[in-house]
Amino acid sequence: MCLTCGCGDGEVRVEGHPHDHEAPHDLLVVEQRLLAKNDHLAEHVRASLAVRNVTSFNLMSSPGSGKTSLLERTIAELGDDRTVCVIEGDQETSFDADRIRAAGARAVQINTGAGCHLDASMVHDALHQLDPPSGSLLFVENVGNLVCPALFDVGERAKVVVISVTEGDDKPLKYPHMFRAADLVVVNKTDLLPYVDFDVDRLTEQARRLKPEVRVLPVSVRTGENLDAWFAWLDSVVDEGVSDGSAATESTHSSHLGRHSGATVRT
Amino acid sequence: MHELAITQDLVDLVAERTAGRQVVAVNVRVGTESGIVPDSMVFSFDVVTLETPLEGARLVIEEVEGNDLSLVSVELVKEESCA
Repeated sequence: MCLTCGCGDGEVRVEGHPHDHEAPHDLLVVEQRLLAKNDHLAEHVRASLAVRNVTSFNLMSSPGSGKTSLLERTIAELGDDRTVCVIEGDQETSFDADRIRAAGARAVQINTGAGCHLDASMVHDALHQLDPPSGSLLFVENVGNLVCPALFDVGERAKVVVISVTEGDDKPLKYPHMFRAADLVVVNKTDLLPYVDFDVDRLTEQARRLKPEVRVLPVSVRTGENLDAWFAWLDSVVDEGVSDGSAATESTHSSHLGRHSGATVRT
Repeated sequence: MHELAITQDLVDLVAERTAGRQVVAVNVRVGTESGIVPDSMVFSFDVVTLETPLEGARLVIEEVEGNDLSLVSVELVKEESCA
């Protein structure tokens, strides 16, 4: 309907308006992707991190899967070998950033308030504060949520989805957007496998239905089981660059993993 | 509710392109694999357009296959004939 004169679709005409309303409105054709602004900023973040030789990872999961614990352990074990910097996303509190600082790494906390995900603009602003040094690893620990973060590119080199065995092995098909976006699926808390009905093979099969080439890596942050494979994967991303999850091949990963005895990556 | 954030971006984008002109309808394409729930987007649209030149405008969603998520076109009150 024309809001000015009231003439509308079809046969609706307002008396006293002689003008022809066959095309009652001006049509402005735009054709623009809705996430274009976010994606543009994410590209800017990715490019500026690449120039500074910083490798960035977007860590996503439900709340409580062990993302922060994985980072604490990563910081401790990498020690002086490689600097780790972290951007923490939560609705409220700086609990996670405090834990990361206590573990010995630089951290910036983002509180999203009512927001359910981080976006490129938040990460961009946090990076000005964080100023990660050349050669460092940057982890963006997203808001705990298996839905919304999947849609927002934050300028990462690779996306990591963490799931713990207490959450159930049916999550990939229930949250397909998240698992379709993943470059790596870390299955945490494998030390609890004897006590829960979680089938790693079933989860792997579901994840591969959504993304055939995705790597699934079972670990226990608590016991340290298979964390060698996690470090090997991080190395491989640093060395090869996995900009869209397709750049690194399975064979190049195998050669990296060969340096670490006892490490297993499900392929 | 990522639909709220995305719809806010949509409204900002439309406002930038239309320079204060009164908007009748906003046409978007939403893919079935885009991760966007059309009903949530319509709800968000009514909220974020309040007290803007888009208030009262219709959000028309064409659902398509795939992960497309695009602003297609904007219908504006005709400047000459209805002024």
